[in-house]
Amino acid sequence: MATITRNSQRSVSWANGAGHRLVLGVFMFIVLAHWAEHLVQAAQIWAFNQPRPQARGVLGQFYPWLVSSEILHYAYAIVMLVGLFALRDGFAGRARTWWTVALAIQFWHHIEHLLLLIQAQTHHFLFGAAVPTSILQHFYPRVELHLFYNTVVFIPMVVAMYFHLRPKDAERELTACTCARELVKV
Amino acid sequence: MNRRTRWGRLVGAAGAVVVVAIGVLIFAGGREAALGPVFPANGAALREPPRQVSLTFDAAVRPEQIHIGVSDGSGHLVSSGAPVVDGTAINKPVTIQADGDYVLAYHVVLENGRTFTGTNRFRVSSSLASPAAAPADAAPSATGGHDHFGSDPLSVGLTVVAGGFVIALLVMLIHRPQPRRS
Repeated sequence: MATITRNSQRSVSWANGAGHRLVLGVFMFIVLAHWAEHLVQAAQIWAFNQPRPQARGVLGQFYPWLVSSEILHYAYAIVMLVGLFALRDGFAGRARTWWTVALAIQFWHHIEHLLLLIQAQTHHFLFGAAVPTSILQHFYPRVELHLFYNTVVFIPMVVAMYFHLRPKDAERELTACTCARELVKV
Repeated sequence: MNRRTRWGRLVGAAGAVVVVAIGVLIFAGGREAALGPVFPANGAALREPPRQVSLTFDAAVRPEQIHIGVSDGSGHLVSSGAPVVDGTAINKPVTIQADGDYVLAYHVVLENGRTFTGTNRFRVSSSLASPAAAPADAAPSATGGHDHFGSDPLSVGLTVVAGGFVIALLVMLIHRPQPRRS
């Protein structure tokens, strides 16, 4: 006889319980779509030798203004922050630790994008620059800085996803979702 | 509904409002003209000197201020004519008579106050074998675009690492890992 091990005692919101798998899936789709855009942009530059202003990813080919829109980049930063925050309660143990690391880094990344957005709207730029400038850009070029931010947020997210999808028994007991495959005892 | 759940729903609702508001802002702001190709492109190498430089927008523009200049390797402005606005493009005739490295600098203020500034470096060389070759010391464009891909080893490395983790995540989501046996 098969029995299914699942914790149903923990009180969490729908998004962190029965709906965690669905909401997390939508969130991961957004994250992967963002990376897909940037990886296409990288391929356009390095594999197809397109001039940088013309290498705008997929959406940027049809809506060029999207690529240079500080609002869009702030929107992605805040979607990331809200998603990491809202879905955190669905994680437990090692997965929760790694997810929290991603949340903390994204919080700072979001602050940087908020400052960029404010500068773009007010036309007052930090450090006397001629364009919107990040704080850490004072020490490190913007292009590499935001690629670095996106990567160091993404890596702990993926590690958290691995531990969430393959939890220890004790961690499984602390979650209320169906993200991990069910443990079937025959 | 306990306090934790109520707060969770409040935060979720606030997040949804922010996301919708930003979406509205993006698409409302999307009607504003954005700068597209700039000729000569940053890093371009030309066998023949350009007769004009141009900034092309994705919509018709009515600039309030136009400052466009091309300087040679020693920083001297080359001779040029008055800029002409032609629908979506701003063209400025220039007279370049010698091979060398040049810098196109521009500052355009549209009637809504939106400002576009930047510099493009390009090279003119009649002995070029390939028009695609670029000056070795070409500086990145300063148009304010959100390009995450410098060609330095760090950017290449970060992109490769990110690509690897993207593949790992995709595999994990498609083939969920087998449960751990206790």
